[in-house]
Amino acid sequence: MGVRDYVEKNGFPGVLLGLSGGIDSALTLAVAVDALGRDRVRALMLPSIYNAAISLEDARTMAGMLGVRYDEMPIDEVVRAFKGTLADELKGLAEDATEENIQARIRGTLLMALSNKYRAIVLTTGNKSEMAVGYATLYGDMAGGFAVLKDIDKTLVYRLAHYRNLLGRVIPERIITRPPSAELRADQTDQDSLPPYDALDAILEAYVEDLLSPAEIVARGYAAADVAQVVRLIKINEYKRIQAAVGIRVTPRGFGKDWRYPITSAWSEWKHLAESQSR
Amino acid sequence: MRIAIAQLNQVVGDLPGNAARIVDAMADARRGGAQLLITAELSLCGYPPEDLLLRPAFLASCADELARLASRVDGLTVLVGFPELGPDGRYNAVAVLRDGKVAATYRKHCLPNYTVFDEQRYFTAGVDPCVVEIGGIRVGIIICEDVWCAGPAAAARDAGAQLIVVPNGSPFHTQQQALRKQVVSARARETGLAIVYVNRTGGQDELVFDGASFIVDGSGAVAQQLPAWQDTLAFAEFDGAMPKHVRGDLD
Repeated sequence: MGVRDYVEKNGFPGVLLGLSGGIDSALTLAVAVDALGRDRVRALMLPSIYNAAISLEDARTMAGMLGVRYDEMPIDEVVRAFKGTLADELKGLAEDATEENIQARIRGTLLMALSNKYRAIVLTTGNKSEMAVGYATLYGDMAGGFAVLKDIDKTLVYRLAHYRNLLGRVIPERIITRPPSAELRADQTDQDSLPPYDALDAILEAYVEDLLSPAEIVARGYAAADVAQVVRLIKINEYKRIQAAVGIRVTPRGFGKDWRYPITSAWSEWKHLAESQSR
Repeated sequence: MRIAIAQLNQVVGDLPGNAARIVDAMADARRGGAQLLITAELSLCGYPPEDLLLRPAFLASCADELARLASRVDGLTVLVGFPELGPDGRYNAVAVLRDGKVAATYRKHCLPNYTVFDEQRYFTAGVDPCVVEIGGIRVGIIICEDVWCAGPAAAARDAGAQLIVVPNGSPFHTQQQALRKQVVSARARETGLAIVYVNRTGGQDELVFDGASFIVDGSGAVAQQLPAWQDTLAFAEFDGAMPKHVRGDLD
């Protein structure tokens, strides 16, 4: 209902979204089709060399199962052109998030181009866990008009995917079972840079919804290093969240009007944790 | 009486840093012979702290920092703004620090909830006036929005105040400096009391604070003007409860 009303009441003819072969875009697509019908939904796969073959297979399979229009638009040529233009600036510097974000931003630019041309709104596919810790690219996968899963953490994304498949299978099983990855460099998984999602989501809930301090969360049995990392990431990504698309709120405290934190702030609770532990 | 006005660029959430800046101002104020040092609204935690106010650990840290700061106060009275967690709610408060402790607390009456303000999300309204005697003068304290309503200044006068001081967190906009003068002058004329208006400086996300603190006499005429857009510690001379007029400019 949230997606349907946002699209219809604001007069959009339909929606489009980028599929990645991962669970977030799969669930977003399923919700969009349930809300709007397959004729008003377009899915695009914008693969790079870092996308596994199974990501493309699964994206195709899912689009086929739902019967939505599906197109593939490889981005490698555009990536080469970007890197060519930046060659002098990048020369001699190690590859890092810069190159990863270029891919995400190319995808964002292409989706927004289609949005402009066909008037369809772009649905972003990031979940609450990613929004919390800033595991998303500003003007990249964050580019778009409406964030369907903005208040759904990764753990709940999995549960909802299971639930949706119980009502009728629309999400290929492999999308649900494979380890999550942004696929922005070789052999990347989310757990390279984040704690496991079950710990991450429990820490998030304790900090964001229950307003506990890092010390109180550690007392609940979570690793101090994980708690410090998550709380720090929440704090330093305030600037990113404030620029994110609006989305549907379903928890007692989402990252919308019920989360009004200063971006400019020296309140760094995770440091208190480090201090109390070193004593 | 001599009053020191600290127009500071406090950082939201930087409790030790903000306290250190107040301690520096205290030293300057004492050296300059001031009996009272005034800082801006929520000067201990920075303004506006927004949803940090909902976190119990933040409020507890503010209380600890205030106690530490109070223990360093000696030889003058210092007004420090802080979020107070009371038994029945959170308050936007000013602590009167004196002789190493919190001698009194004023809780803001009027909580703005329009334009960029959402203080009713965080705070319970105070109801009592707060008048403290400093250098033989009875000084009434009110906070920011309180001066934009008629009640709190009148309540301070009725409670015996001979002079009113107002710590503020008043963000700049193109008409703001004129509006503040208009409103504060009106309060001065209604009560017949001089008013010391103290504002913070600096940027905080989408807000900029211009400082531009000033003093009006009991007729509402500007007696002293502090510069805009500058951190400063300024002294104001009083003859009894009457401010001495000095030349000054907004810059």
